Amino acid sequence: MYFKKIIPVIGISLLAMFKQVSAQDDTHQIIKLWPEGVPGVKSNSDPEVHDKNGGISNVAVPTLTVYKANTDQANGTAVIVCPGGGYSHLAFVKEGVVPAKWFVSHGVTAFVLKYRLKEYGHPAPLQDVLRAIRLVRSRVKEFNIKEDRIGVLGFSAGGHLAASSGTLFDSPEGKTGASLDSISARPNFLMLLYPVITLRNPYAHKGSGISLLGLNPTDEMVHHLSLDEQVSSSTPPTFIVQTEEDKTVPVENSILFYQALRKSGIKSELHLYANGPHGFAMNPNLGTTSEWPDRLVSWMDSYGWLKQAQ
Amino acid sequence: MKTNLTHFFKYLSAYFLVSLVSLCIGNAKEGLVIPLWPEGVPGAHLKASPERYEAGRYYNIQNPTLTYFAGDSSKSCDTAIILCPGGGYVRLAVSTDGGGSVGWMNKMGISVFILKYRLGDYGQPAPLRDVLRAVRLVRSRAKEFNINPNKIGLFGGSAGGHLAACAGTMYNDPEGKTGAAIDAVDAKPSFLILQYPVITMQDPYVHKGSRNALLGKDPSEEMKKRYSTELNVTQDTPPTFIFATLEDVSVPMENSILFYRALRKNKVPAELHIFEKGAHGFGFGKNLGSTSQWPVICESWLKANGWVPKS
Repeated sequence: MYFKKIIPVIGISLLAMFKQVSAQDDTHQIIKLWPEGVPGVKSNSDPEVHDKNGGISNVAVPTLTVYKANTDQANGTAVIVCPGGGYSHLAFVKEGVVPAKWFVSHGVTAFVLKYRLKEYGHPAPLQDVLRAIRLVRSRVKEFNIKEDRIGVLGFSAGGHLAASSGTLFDSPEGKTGASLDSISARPNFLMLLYPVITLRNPYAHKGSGISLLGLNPTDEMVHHLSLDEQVSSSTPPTFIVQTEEDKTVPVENSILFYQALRKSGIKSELHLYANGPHGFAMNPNLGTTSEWPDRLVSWMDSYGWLKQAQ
Repeated sequence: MKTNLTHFFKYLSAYFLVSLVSLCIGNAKEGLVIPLWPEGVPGAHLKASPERYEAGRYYNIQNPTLTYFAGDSSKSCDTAIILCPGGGYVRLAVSTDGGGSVGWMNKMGISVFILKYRLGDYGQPAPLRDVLRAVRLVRSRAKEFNINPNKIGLFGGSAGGHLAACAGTMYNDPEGKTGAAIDAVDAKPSFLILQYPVITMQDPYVHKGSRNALLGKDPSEEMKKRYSTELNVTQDTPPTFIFATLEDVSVPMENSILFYRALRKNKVPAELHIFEKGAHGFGFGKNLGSTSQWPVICESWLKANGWVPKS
């Protein structure tokens, strides 16, 4: 009797361990964002959780996992990839590792960002993404990339984080007094996939808002993190993809950001498809929606980012 | 002098048609010009200025027609597209909107009918009447052209996009009917493809030239609303593919967004692509960065929806 109960438990644990390896692939370099100590660290936090679908939650030690472009293909462009998960977990494989490998196949060096979530709330995720950009930019020689070719891509809540980096890059919240603070945290381009943009009704994604700001945020904070309200003339060029069918994050989020970019004179491209539920990521079976990576290649190509840097 | 000029334009139009006909030897109907109103153009102006064709543009349309361009018959495609050229309802820019696009569609196997519709010298409802009659006519003669009556789409650029969007939203409008037997045929297009379309007749995103030509200098609020196509979308509006650019300073891309949002609200499947480069009227223009990819993207959409065979 006892064995019958314990065997499945062992099986599940083994499976979990196996998946943990695939989410945290140890053939790739992992860089801690805050070697000097994570700002605002909580001393008695629970351990990080890795689920069977390649997801991660309860992040306490933010990192970048490096997917280096092959030397003969590398074009000098880098992308920091922010997985989504409503700021409560990270779809680390589906919206991190998989797109990172796709970038590598196009000569782009990718960094998958593991950022802090609802256990910390705002400003921890913003601190993490801005530190990530500063860190990558401070080590361009080591990664064989150019400091003016660093993009940030994000899915869903990761899209909110990416859009935060493109609008709040100078925010004092991103600085901790470290010498790295002097390096620009402004991304050179943004790529937003079914992004969370606004925290205001009726188009807000409630879960993301609660994870970031709690149940009763001030209007000031809602304004601060409703990113269509933060676009300025220094927001970088942006590429946006979203579907009409998305029931989790309304397509209006993409439209709001696009219209704000347009108002500020920022060049951008918007692709809104019909089919595909929220979180389609790189699913190849969604008709024309699955062609978004081709659109991204065309867009990056039109800026010369996929050609060898001079 | 005037007679000489008329002769000259007649010669030009004839030359234009002959060259089109000579392009295709395989289809006897190629270049066929079909008058929309064989029984007489409704509301025809008796003392109208003569129709003329100049540098790829038609003016003063009096006799609305469809001109047929056969699709590549080896593609076994039974779809037809009625092409509505743009020109702010004051002219028809056949060379920019018609040229490359017709060849591209024919190559996929699509039969193309270029619509020559009436313009500002008539104003509303003449263009709407013409486009709805065009859909009825093509649908009623589907067999003759080897097309499927359920696969008749509209492609419109600029003001032609407005006209296509009108057809997609006002297909049952009584003004489209004249008491002819053909009124009984369904005028609803099967799909819409809108290139930098004029959509709204309301400020601030209205294209004033199109509004002046279609509705007059000082239209009533009621007329503005009637021809603001974003206000007429329902769940029965056909699937729509829209594309525009940020660089368009004539017709703001917000027109495209307005129509997309209305489609989305009514759960009509739609795609919207907004690119960076390309001035208004870029047509089939090359070297516009990612914008020049639009035919590839649109072809995928046509294939995904079964209007063009997959391989």
